[in-house]
Amino acid sequence: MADRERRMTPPYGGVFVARTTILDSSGIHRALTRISHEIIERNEGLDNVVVVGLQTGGVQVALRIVRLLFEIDGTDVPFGTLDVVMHRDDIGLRPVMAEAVTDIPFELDGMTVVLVDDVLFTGRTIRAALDALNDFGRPRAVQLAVVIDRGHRELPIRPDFIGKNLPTSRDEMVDVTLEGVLLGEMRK
Amino acid sequence: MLAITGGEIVERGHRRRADIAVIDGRIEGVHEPGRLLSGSPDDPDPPRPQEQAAAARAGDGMLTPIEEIDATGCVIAAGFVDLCARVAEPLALEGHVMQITATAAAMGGYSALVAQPDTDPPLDRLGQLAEIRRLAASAASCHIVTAATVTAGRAGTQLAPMAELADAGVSWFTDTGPLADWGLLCRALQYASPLGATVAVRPSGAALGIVAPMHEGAVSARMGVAGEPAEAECAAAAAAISAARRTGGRLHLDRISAAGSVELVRAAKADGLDVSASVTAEHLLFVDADAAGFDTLMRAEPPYRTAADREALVAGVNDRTIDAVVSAHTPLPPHDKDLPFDEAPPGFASLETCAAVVLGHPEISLEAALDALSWRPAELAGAGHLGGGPIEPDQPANLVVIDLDRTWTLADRGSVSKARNTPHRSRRLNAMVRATVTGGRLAVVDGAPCDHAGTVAALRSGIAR
Amino acid sequence: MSGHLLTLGELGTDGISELLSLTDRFVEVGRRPIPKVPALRGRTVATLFFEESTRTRLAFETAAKRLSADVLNFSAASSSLAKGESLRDTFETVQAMGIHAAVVRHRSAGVPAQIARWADDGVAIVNGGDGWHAHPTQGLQDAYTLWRHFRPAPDSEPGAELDDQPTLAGRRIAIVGDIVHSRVARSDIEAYTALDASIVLVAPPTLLPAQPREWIDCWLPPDAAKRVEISHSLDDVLDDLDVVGLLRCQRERMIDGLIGSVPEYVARYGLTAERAQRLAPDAVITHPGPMNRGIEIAGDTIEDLAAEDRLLVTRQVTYGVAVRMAVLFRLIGSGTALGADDRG
Repeated sequence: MADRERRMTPPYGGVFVARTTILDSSGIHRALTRISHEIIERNEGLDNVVVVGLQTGGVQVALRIVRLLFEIDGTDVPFGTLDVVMHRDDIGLRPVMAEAVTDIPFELDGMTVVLVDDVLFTGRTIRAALDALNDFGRPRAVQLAVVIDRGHRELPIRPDFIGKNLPTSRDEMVDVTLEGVLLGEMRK
Repeated sequence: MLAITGGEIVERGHRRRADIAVIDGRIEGVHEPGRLLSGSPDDPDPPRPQEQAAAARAGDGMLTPIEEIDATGCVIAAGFVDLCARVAEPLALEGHVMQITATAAAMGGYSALVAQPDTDPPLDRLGQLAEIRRLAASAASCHIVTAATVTAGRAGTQLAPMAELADAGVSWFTDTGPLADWGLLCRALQYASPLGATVAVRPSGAALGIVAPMHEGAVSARMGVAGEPAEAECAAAAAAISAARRTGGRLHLDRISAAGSVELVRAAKADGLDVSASVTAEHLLFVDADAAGFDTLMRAEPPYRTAADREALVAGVNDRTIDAVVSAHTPLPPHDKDLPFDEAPPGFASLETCAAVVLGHPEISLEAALDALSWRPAELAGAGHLGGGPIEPDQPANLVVIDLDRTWTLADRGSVSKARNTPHRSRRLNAMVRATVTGGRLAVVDGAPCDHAGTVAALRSGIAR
Repeated sequence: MSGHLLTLGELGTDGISELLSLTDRFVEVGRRPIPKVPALRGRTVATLFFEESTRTRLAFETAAKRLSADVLNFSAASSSLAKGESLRDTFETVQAMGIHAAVVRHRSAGVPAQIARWADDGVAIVNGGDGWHAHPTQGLQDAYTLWRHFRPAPDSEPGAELDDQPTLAGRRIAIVGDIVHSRVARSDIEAYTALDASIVLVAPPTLLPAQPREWIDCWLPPDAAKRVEISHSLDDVLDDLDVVGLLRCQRERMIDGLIGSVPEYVARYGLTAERAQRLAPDAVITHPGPMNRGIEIAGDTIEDLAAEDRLLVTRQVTYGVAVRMAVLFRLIGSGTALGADDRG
């Protein structure tokens, strides 16, 4: 879970209190390894595949996937980061953070972009990311990889690669790090 | 008959508790407290000597007090005299300007004001004088004394017909601003001298070619606004004083604002020169830093200067180096202050607040305030019969009743003038003019103007505390 | 930062640093193939230029458009000001059209501050330059240019946190020229001192406020004021400068009797080839542009310094758009109510 989400979840300024461990670090590792294999399989190799991690929660996950892809396939996949805060329809809800940079140091035209995020929830971040990607070029295809799909979609967006489906209530909070996935809530 | 009871009369050097009776425009008598009327509710069954007393004096029967002002707890002083006010009123029909200005002046405790001649066209000849006096006669709430310009058309090049105007009763000549030509100022002072007239000039950097919207200093430098140095005003004041020294004429330095100017006036007086000086009430309060937010209400003429200058002005009023506090009343149309800081005209509508500012000023003594508002300006303008005179039987009845313990704001009370260019709208004022008597008639009672054409029944109850 | 941007002093060190970081993000946006984001979609930015300035107006207009805001242009020439409408009437008319921000430029100091008092809640006023008073976005643009120039090469690992944001701390910056009549100088002084730089103001006494020391001491916070020196000789201060900030000389002032003559000024305050030689080899030059060749700076010196990449004038212009994007984004890009439904 990104610091930004933590700040933007009611009650604002609260702390995350974990209730259940959904995945431990080996569980995360297995899920990401499986996703990496699926990416290679779906794209019949890694030619013209690039990975873009969404700021801030998706970046660490994406970096791990890039490493796994290299370990599995021997291919050094181009990697970029994307901050969608300036593309969101709920602009202003999310503070712009100095460390959350956008850096896509390669052409997107004709590439297959694997967007990586930690949690898929309403789908609004992904919609904003698709908009933002358009400003960088015209990818051949965009695929979406997420560690957790927690439901409650508000837009017709569906992930291509999923670590785990996790039914949640709206008030709950999902915390994803490379050490594990925790389910809990924000408390004052 | 008008009776003012229960107050304390303050005159130069002495105070007394007394009741005042006013008949036919004159002070009929000044009586022991309680002897005139039985106004005190604490004393339900007093003798009613006032009837016998009045009857005894009048000889032919009883006089009925038709108006009574209960001035308990208040100070009674001679009506104030303003040496510098502009008779103007935005949005008013021409015929009403005088009445509104006079009523506003009465609300501020003035029974007389010297109307500045910087009208359009300027008052520089006899014909206009007659017309203005005709209009002024219709404004009964305050005596309007007309000043005339020193130079024809205020152009600063050629003397106005000062002797002719003086024969018609004008004793105050001013171009309402600086006179750049030192030789001309000398001639004006020489010319005015045998006429017994005063020449007033405002020492200003403009006389040295410096025109700027504010004081030159650290504040103007930060704001990026051109400034007029205090030294420019001092140079102009020194030049004018030199002219008085050279000619022996009667010079008034209108609206000084710099500590150096106070010092120059002090030295001139010590040398025995016939020099007087005035300051506005606002300059006793505000400094240049008050304009730091580009508030156009803080644009004044001359500009507000530093804290040290302000302190020197206050000290000058207290030690009588500065003779008079003037309102410099300059009502402006509502939108004039909505201009950029450097384009907005300076000045404030101040007749209704000036005396309250001075009387409620924590650093100014009551006697110094009354000297500057009433007694001294009356002497300077030769207007003792219109205000600032002695409170004695047979004297013209120009009186003001002041409550020194009453705080108020203009926003709450409302103002007579429609002009909104006042820095005091929501500022708390620490003294209130409760009643003004001009030429024996009640112009203001209970802080509200009286309508002389109508009934005074509503006013009979006196001032509600 | 809340409400308006009238001077940089109001922002303080934190506010200025925040805007510089944000500017970084918009510099990146400007390098995208499509340098535009929808951040201010549906918002309207009015440019109220009572004094014409093509450069500043273009920078603000470009910034607003790159944020997808609608832009409403007002200029005094095409207005009813000439017909006696007051400043307030003009602003209130524009405001009534439904704007979220107004960039105000006026030849009189304080007009943006006055307009800010008349603005409805939720309408942000940005000072686009007022008289000799302030030009905060130019100050930010100059500060950003130097801040970016002096910071170490950015960490190439994406996503790495940038700790210890480098600032101008300890740098020595000269501001040379007509300081008393310069809004740019005033905003630069606020920006540079807030970022802990040292400043030396270099000008003949007639081009400085009458009591310059008192001006600085009354204006700036004490720790900032003591880092500002005043000198009447460029030669005296040349040796240990990191930056020479040249101000544009207005010819009208030159003939106003404030200096003896242009050659006399150039001889004492111009960045001549000899003076450029004496500068530290890594010292850089800024100028708000356009430069008067042969006055503020010698013509061949321009070429020499540009060849060594020490003349930052073009970068100042480039960053000008990003800085104004940051300002507009910060002022009107936020403020929507928070809600749980907007997560994810």
